[in-house]
Amino acid sequence: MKSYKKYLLYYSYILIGAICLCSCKKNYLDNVNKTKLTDDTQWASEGNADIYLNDLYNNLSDMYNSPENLDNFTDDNDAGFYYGSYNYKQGIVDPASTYYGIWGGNAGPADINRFNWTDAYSTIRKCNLFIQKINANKQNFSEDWFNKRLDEVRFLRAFYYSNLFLHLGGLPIITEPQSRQDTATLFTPRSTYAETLNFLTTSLDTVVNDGYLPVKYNGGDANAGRATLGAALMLKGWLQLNAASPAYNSTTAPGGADPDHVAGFGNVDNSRWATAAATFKQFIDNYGNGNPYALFPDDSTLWFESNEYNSEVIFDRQYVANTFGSSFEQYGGPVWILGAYYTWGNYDPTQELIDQFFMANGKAITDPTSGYDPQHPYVNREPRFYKWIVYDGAPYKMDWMPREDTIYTRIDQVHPSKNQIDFGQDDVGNTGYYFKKKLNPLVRPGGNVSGANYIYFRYTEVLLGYAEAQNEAVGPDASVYDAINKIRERSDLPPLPDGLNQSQMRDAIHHERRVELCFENKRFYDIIRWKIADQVMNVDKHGMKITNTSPTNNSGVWKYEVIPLNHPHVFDMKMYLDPIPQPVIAQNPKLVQNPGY
Amino acid sequence: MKKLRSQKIRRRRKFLQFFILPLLLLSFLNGYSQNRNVIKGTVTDESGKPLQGVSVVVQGRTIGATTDKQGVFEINAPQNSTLVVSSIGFDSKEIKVNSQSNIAVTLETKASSLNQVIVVGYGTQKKTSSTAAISTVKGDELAEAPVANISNSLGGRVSGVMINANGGRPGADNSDIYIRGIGSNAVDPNTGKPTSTPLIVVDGVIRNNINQVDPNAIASVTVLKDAAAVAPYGLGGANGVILITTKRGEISASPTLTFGGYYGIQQPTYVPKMLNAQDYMRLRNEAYHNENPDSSTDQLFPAALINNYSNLNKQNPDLNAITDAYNTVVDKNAPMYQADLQLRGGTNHVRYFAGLGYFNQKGLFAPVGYNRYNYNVNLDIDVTRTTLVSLSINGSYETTDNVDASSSTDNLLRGVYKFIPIQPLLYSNGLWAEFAGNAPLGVLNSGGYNRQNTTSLLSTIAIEQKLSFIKGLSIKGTFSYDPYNFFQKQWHRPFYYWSQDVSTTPYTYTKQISTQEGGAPTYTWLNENYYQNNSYTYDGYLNYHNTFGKSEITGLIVAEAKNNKQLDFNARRNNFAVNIDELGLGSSDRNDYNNGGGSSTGSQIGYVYRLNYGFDNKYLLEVSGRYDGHYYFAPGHRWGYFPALSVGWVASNEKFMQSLKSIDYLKLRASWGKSGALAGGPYQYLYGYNLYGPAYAFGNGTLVQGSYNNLEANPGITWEISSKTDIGLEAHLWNGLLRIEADYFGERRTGMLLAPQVTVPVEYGLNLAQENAGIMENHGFELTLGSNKRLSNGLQLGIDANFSYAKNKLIQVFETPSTYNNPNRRRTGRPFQTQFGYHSLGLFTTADDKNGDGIIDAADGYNVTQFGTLHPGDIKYADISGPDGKPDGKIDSYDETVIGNPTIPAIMYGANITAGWKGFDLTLFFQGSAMSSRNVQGFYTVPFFNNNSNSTYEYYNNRWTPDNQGAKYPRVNQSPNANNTQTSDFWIVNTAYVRLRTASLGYTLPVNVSTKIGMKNLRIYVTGQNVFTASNLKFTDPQTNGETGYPLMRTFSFGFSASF
Repeated sequence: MKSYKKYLLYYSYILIGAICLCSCKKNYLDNVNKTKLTDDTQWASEGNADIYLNDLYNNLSDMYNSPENLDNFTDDNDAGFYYGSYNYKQGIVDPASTYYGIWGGNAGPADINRFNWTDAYSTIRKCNLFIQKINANKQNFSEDWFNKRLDEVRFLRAFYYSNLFLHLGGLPIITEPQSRQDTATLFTPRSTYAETLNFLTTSLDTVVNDGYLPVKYNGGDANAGRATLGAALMLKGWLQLNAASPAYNSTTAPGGADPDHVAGFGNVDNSRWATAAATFKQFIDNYGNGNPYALFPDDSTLWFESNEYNSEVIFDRQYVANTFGSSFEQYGGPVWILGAYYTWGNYDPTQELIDQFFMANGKAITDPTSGYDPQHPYVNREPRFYKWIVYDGAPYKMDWMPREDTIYTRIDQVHPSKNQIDFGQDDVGNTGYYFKKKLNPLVRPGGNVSGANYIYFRYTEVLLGYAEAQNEAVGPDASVYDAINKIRERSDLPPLPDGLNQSQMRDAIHHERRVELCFENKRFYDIIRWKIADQVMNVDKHGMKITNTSPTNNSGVWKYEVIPLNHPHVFDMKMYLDPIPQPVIAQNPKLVQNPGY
Repeated sequence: MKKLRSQKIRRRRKFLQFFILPLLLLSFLNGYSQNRNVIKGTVTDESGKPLQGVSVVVQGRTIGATTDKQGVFEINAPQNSTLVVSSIGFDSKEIKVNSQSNIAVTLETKASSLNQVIVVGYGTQKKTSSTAAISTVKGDELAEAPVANISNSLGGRVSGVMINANGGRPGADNSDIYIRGIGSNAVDPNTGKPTSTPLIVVDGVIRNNINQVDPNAIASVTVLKDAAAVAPYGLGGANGVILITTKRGEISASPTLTFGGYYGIQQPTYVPKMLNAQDYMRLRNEAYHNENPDSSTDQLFPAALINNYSNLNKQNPDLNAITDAYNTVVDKNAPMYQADLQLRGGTNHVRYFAGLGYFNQKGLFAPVGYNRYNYNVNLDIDVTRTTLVSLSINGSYETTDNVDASSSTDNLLRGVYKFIPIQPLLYSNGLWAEFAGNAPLGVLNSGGYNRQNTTSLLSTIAIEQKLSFIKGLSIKGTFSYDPYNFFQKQWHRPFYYWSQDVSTTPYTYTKQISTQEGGAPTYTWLNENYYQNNSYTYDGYLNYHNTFGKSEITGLIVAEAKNNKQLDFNARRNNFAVNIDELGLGSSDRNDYNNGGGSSTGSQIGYVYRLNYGFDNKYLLEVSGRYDGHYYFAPGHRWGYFPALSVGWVASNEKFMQSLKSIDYLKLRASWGKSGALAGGPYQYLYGYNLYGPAYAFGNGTLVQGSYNNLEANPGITWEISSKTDIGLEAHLWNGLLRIEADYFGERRTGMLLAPQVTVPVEYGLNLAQENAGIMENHGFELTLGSNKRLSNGLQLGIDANFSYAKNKLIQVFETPSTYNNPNRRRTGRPFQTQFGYHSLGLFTTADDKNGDGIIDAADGYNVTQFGTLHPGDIKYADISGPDGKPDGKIDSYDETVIGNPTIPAIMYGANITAGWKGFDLTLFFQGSAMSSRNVQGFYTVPFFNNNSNSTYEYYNNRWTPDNQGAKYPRVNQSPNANNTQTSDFWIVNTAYVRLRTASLGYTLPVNVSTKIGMKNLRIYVTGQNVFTASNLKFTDPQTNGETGYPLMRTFSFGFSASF
């Protein structure tokens, strides 16, 4: 017994001794952080460095997972109350206010994924870091890899700068990861509009002239989705087209005095149109006409997953159903399908947009000879109307649906429809229209379910851009007709009549562009650069109210009535550019604010 | 006689065998009989009144007696033995039996006890010789409240404890606890809540297991507040420390078995009153009219429809529905129950306590609920006269059930509040419907769930050895092993509902899948998460205690090492073909698979010391501290030293005070010291790239990983340092009739972790590492008052009240010039989390629309740009300032100003009133807080908050209309209006409240009755929790976090406690 107790005593000594030993152990406080990569591993090989680059692609704005869309900031779409855009349409755009509604938000269309200063510059820093690091670790990479990746990131950096440039004008241009210690360059002022444009087009020229990247990746190529020469040249042309347009190619900025020339050139130079036309022509001549880019034969299936990387696609964001999927199908299309609630109804085409669709004979509905009947407005319209727009009485059949549905937006007291035009603030549309353009027909609307890619640029825009720039630079020559008629021809529309003067051709191009590119987030930039936003956004939009003259039993006739939506419609001249958020200026006093804010 | 008793005991033991056999064996370690003599004695209270029913036992023997009406007992005790005299409400006393045969014992009322021994960091101390600010509450008091764990019963019980409620979902209703307010600006990046929560220590070991400890197994909870008290915890002590001590065995005549339990019914403290069908349609019409005053379109709902709606509903409830979603979905009387079984006893050599506990709380709807099983065994074994071996085991198994894994109670409640009353929720055929994609019944009937199982074990073995070669010196070694296992199983089944086609006769119903506004997958998925944490704590103690004449010296040295190892992994499959919730039975398509996992380790070392010196029981001095090292930081920044110094003066022991009969005890004390707080996360000193996936896809959808760095490293990062000062007074007056404890405290927190904001432009593009740069001060005072009185008619009254006030101030924080340079917006110099926003000047009235066009603008002489077009009934904001510091005719961030207090109150108080009379006992525990405010903008106060969602009568009855110009809420819009939903003081409500937190009425059977039915003691009781609340907020609970959160509960329960 005694010895047992003795052992106990010893045991306690040992225990205490062990604690001291343990705590005296030199490395006791050293633990390994296994959650992160270090500089050594990140840049050790092409494979490891590619992992970093993958994230840069992922920073491409996630347009198909953004319930808010740029079209909602235009006259094409009216989803009624939808946070950021509803405030924007009331003219509530103010850099000094950080709170615009119950779900938060920022100045301008900032609640669209990554359309804000903070995200853009954090990505730009990542691009700069990549360039710096692969140069510093050049010995770890093959020359081919190095050249390609460097140009990819040059393109991506230009793409990210462009996002801000098109909304804000001249930007602080930063091309290396900044250091806190280097206070001389830390606070960078905004470059002028012209300098920023020049920086971007020069970067893209480098990529195009290097020629390291392929012109296009086709389906089946493991690298499809990466930056290409085509993407670089398209982005260059798009930026030049914007810059040549009246909002920027002007002696005065729309928003007011612009002493620092951040909002535009501050002068007019018609040769800017020629510059843009030349870039688009370079694209058509070198990369177009099926070499490898061309119009896809069908104007509606080109967005489908099965047609990814088709001849028309220039640059797109990748999606993979369920694992890396898009939620686009739950934002657009009719709210109620086969009696069930499916979509949020965020895309409600306005009567203004509907009226743009041509008649089947190719004539505008405003043309007295078009045959348009306001009491039968959906008869004999052009094919794109039936393929893209869901109107009252439209048949609706997607591949996932077990049977066809007919969508009624009319006010029918006998057989009330759940999609009936809604004057309240329900998800159900206020305009009487939905759309089905770009919707993936295979997937039942839901989150993360579609694998169809979001296309930033397609070959149609090269043709439309060329036609517009060339018409402005030299007038409606044959090449202009040729470009625009290719698009009309694909949609089974007759060619434009001969003999249009420059102004008529301009209207025709603008008109064609609005229809062809609807719901592709292009209209916003068009009404800004054409400087027509203050006209088209300052008026109420309209919807179609359809009622029976004998509502209790539908024995009368159906009456079509274009009615104002009574939604806010304020557009101040300063809104031609969005404001730089006040906190951004507070942290860098060298930044000047945009005119009018 | 002896024989009889032992037989009786054996019988009882046989009964016990069913419960805890091993412990039972220990009780046989009883000694054998020695020379006996009969001892007679009397037991009285302080006033000399005889006490009946007092238990007198011979220590270490199964011999006992009870006093009679005259307080007299008779016991057969061996010579040189010790008698233990104890009674409920009094301190136990040990009397050494020498040769006396007649003993007079005076018992002291428990609360007035000056000899109370309290638990402190790494040891115990006599309350009288402590120089620190420490509060203690008995476990029994906390266990009175029918709640899962003490986080919901501690608030208001002791001074210095601030509580912020977190809703009432079973298993997820823990309150946030802050000791002496908020000391640091550090916030949890996920929840936005302050992280300055106290360190939790269970049975002397640092453990954050407040959830896993059964309140019934708790002997006491001690709150360490000032520097002197927290210094032994070094870098963990700055936010205060809560010491939970579980019950241990006591020497007793015979083992005591206690069995108790309660059954209760829970209801939300507040249920929102949502509009009925007719009022909903009226409000919709009004909203439409407000936005389209000139519209030719008819009313959305014709008056004829509204007025005849109840008739139409009777004729055809499926077409003209009247729905009350909340009352259809929610079980308003959710049960909860609890049972516990405890065995306690001890002999000379072994003292033991064992407990089993079960707690079950159901939610407002199935399957929401919480279950917990607890078991604990504490043993203290005197192996030799100088060696004590202790063993503690505290185990628990918890199950938390929640609704379908693709939803949440918040989502579900949001869907219920939103559900409009004119749409069917349940058709007359019993099938259910949806609104705006939400099918609450589809979620509840999906069969999906989100279940968490947690097993936790807190185990400690300790050996203490008195060292004979130096008097008063002992060593102790403890080893603790705390495994924690968390397993989560998330099962989603598609949410179905039925659509109704009214164009056919009869109506046709089609089964549809709800996507919950597009969010919930239309396929079945199962996800399993496993998390394991093993913590190891090693402590070596050196204790010293001795007296030299009038000097008393106590010393302590502890070396402590802690380390923990964590791992987690998760696996998921989508698209189950069969309805069986097993991972292996999911789709075999590899695209439906998903998994992940990781592991980490952590370690800490601390060296603690404490030295007390007392002279003549009058002058007290204590120095203590800790030298601490932690793995969070870079080598060279890992070690810190946190010392404290405190002094005390027991004035009442001075000769000149002896003449003051009214003062029984008076002590003044003061302390100063440093402690630390660990903020942020580990390895912030390392620069690194985060790897994640899938990051992108190339080619035909090949998913690839990505990596990024978004944060600079800070090689010099270290802990926050808190300097605390405390001055306190403790007094007992008028023979224990009044007890006072008052403290003033001040704290200065330096080195607070802050992300610098202004030193780089936003274009820098990288989040800056946090720096130890912030300074915050926190001051306040606490007052505790207590009184007990036993009236001659046997009525016992007691009150314990406490009041705490703590207010912090940001002294130095990174702030942008735009807020710093504007005195209205400056954060520096204000309390942390002060609420900022616009100042409202009330609502525009019809009279403000001078030209009568329905719009308020420059034409009416109003030249301030607010948000969009303004109308009578919209909120008017004060144009306080502009870029030039002067009003600029525009409401924007320059006009922001202080609009409210932080949401966490600065004042918290509580009062516990007890009364006992002839077996009846009554407890009323009031608790309240003040100096806090909340923004109430949300579903309750903004109509049609989301998608035409239903609105409340709170809004409806108080909204602006031309006939109600001075209304509480703005005019109605069809959707939240930009102007009226800005953050402003219009929506700020003072959330001060006082509530009857716990009320309990019990009755204890007279001893002679209970013994007849074979019990030592039987008490039955009814308890109410959150019985009654008084506050400014009439429509919701002042402690609710976000109005769609799970509501707080009011509970009424019935229970009993029996001991054998």
